[in-house]
Amino acid sequence: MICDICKVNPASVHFTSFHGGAVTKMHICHSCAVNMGVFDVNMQEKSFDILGKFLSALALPGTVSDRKCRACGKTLSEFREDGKLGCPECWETFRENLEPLLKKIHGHALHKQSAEKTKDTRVSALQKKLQEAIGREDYEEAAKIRDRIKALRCKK
Amino acid sequence: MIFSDLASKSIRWQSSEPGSHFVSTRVRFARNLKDHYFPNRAGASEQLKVRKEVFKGVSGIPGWKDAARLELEELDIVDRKFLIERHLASYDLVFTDRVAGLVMGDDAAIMVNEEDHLRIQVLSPGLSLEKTFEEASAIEKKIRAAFDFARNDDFGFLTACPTNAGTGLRISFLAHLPALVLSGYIGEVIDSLARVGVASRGVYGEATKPLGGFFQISNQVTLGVSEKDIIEKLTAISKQIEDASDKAKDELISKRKTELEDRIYRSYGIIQYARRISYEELISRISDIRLGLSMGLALPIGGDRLNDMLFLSQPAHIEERNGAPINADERDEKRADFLREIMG
Repeated sequence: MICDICKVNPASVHFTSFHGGAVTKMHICHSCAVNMGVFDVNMQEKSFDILGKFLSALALPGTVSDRKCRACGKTLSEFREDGKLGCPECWETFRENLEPLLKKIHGHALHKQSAEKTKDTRVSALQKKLQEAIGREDYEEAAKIRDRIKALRCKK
Repeated sequence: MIFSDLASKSIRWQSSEPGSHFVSTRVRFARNLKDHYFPNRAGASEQLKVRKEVFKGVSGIPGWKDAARLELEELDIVDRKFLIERHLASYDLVFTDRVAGLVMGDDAAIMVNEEDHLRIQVLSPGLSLEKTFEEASAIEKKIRAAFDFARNDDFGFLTACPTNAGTGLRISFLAHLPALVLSGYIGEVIDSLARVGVASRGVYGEATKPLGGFFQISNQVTLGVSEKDIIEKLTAISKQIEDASDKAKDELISKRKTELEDRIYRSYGIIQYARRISYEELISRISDIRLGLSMGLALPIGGDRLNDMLFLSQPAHIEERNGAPINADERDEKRADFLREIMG
């Protein structure tokens, strides 16, 4: 995208303005922005989008195939590009990639309030497996599952 | 330029205690509406719809009925810079090609279509992490009652950027740490903050450089922790910063007293007599005077007037008051005039 004013340099500052009854998008380059007085001592342009790059470097390569959000159409590779999710549904679509990323950013893959709930879900899934193992008289497997349930319950 | 009146008004959310370590506290919540794409993904018509929805919803909330609702495309460049200087808006809100808006209270603001649909923020003077959080939280609860926010059990509040999810809460305080800068210990402090997940930035937040020993210090982790955890962590950190700063100051006074006093009184003289001064220089002079006051030097100026000098003489504030375009040199002259006016 080139600058709307000088038509030479790449645009790095964007804003909307109201012209002739319609909202117009303006894209201008750094030096034209300086001429317009956009940048003072207290204002600095963000042109590297370095946060997006950090996030994409941290996001694990989850699956080989590129996933796409059913709701907004954002793809995993687009997310890797800009580090931004497109809509609430993206959080489900890219869950597999987000959890390890969140762990790196926040030290936790999930929000705290849900830690208990996740544990409960895992316990009930294991209990179901335990019943199945007992049903087919696989007591060795059942003992292993019982130990895992015990361990989960003890874990804070 | 539509803010000429506001540009002469003192800022209420600043500590007037001269020489205090902590100037102000800011709490902000990132929230998104459940049934819309995030601003970066939404088209212009959806962005417009979100802005209308938020403006309408907010007007029904007690205390927010008469708050100014600004459509960013209506503002000129000076107005936009003014909002940043006033800490009511971010660079990303005012310089974006999204359809953006701002609901503006006195010490609180709601940015619409910044990175998230809503950024609810509250500012207050000095260091008051818990009280400001309570205030912001009360506003957030009222707004939450009017909207369906995107959230789930696993990730908390869903935000456009994974760095804000969970609580969606960022608490920051503006600290003035000139002794740490002069003594050279500031590097160690900033490195150590980063190690414990606390960010330090320039006065205007993200992507701005620190000026005059002013630093914006905030929590980095928002997910997997409670709001209370965040407040406790920052409280503990602020105490340590205060101690470190006092130690650095004592050391400076014992080793470099005359040099320090000379610097401070010179700065006072410049503020009093300069005929032209840039904002960058002003910040560093004010910083010296604040340091002097904290050392108990006899400087005939109080915190209120220093705050006005610091905030009301920012570039866009001067331009708004002037009412017509002005070049940088003229602005620096007007700034010097304004300082002498305040000094009386």
